[in-house]
Order: sequence, then structure tokens, then C-alpha cells
Amino acid sequence: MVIVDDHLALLAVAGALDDLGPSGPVVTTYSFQYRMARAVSDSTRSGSLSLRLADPSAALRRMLHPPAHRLVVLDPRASLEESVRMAGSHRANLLLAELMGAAAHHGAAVRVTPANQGKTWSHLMEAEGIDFATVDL
Amino acid sequence: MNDSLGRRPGRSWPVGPFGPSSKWCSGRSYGELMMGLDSNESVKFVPRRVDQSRLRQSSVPVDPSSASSSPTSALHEAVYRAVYVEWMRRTNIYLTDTEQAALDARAIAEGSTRSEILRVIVDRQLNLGEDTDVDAALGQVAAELAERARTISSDDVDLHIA
Repeated sequence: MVIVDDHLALLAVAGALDDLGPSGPVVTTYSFQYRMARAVSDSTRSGSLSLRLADPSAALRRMLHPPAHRLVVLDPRASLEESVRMAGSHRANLLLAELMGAAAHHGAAVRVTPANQGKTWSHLMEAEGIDFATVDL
Repeated sequence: MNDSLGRRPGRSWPVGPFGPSSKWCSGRSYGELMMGLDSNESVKFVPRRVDQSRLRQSSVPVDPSSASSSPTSALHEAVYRAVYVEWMRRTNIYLTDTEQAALDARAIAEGSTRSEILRVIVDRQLNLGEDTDVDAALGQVAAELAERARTISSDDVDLHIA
């Protein structure tokens, strides 16, 4: 299983994500899904984005209900205990605590785009024994 | 053994296109290959002599069209290949009596098959409907949407990336 950020999740839903390396399904967290769904919803305010999406409401539906063979959204309740531990140990915010908690709970790898890599993420993931890397697109 | 609706089979055959189970009945509710075909056009897999050694070696059902050259063999082979070789893979799952009875009832009511009802449920539950235009558009603007997500979340203490 590999947990991806919102950018990679968008590409996964579009069927445009290359093989990331780790075996298993491509998944994302609720926080990342929320971020990308909010961005798609907000795209109606941008003339160029709205035009290029053509049907923003259909795009939003696709992000809210992604096809499971391309992307699965993890239930944050399953890894709540680990997430709380991550937040307490590393002073992580909700996004990072959920990401690290889910990775620890599911034994999953984490892949993000360079722009979505926090300054301390690499160090924290290594400290928790999480397979973490960035993906250049 | 009676099936989930309490019917007693007259004879039993291996499950498959030319060795159907007791529930198989071409052109009626339980015909596996009746999708898109009316009862007169449905492909009738008449049980016939099968190379049992080949059956045992392969997880994919033996192509029944190779066993004879009937007038319907072209259609027979085309449907067989589409359904069993190129489009679908056979799988076995365990269901409770209640689940089987519910699937059978829905299949009878809709003139469909247990398998087709299951496929519809799976597709709906897992959001497997195709939406190629939306997917293409999302793929093209993914980078811009990701940047927008960062901007929107930049002042959100729970969701920003620092």
C-alpha cells in the first residue's frame, strides 16, 4: 500500500499516475482528499480552471467518490490511535499526524510531490520507520 | 444439495460455460451469457464431452467452440472470448444463504443473472463507472489544483504543510 498526497491522488483518479514503486493499492488520507476536493470546488472561482475542467461539479463528484481501483481514501478512524501518538510525539498538525498515523497503522509507504514535502517530514518519517520519498513529475 | 431457493437440481455439472451448474438455464434468469441477448439469441452451451485433463490444468474455462463446429460457433466463440477470456475473470466467493437468496430474487425480478446483479453492486459501491472526460480534465489541471490546495490550506493550522 502506498499513501499519496493530494497532487498524486488527483493523478491517480485521472488514471495518469505512473508506478510509484511500492506494491499494493494507491490510497490517500481524508485530509488530503479534503484539500483536493476543496481545491476542485474552489476552481469554479477561477475562470481558466473552470473552463478547463468543463464540468467542475462532475469533477468534484469524481474526487469525492474516486474509483477504488485507482484510489482508496483511508478511514481516519482506523488509525486514530497512531495519529494521536504522532501528534503528541512530534507536534504534528492534523494533516501530518493522520498521514504518519495511517502509514504506521497500515505499514504503508508514503509518496508526495516535492512541493508537498514539509521541512521536517523526511526526518520524522525516518524516525518512525516509514518508507518515505518524494516523486518528481 | 438444494440451492438457495430450495430447488433440487436434477443433475450437476461443473460450473462453467459448457458445464453449467444446476442453476444454469440458457435464455432464462440464470443464463450466464444472456446479457444483451434475448432468449432466442442467447448462446446455448449444451453440455458436451470435455477434455477433462485440460480443464484441470487451466483456471480459464476451455473454449467450448473448439469442441464442435456448430452453426452458432462464430457467435459462440465471440461471446465466450469476450466474457471469459478478455473481459472477465472467474472468481469464487462465499455468500450466506440469505445473500444468495436476495441475489437470486433480484435476478429473477430483473430478468438478469446473479453474476450481473453482483457486478452492478460492486461497480456502484466501488465507483467504477467510467468518466473519461472528467478524468482527462483532472489529469490536465492536476498541478494547478494541487497549487490551489496549497494556497487554500496555507492559513489552515490543521491542513497546511510547513
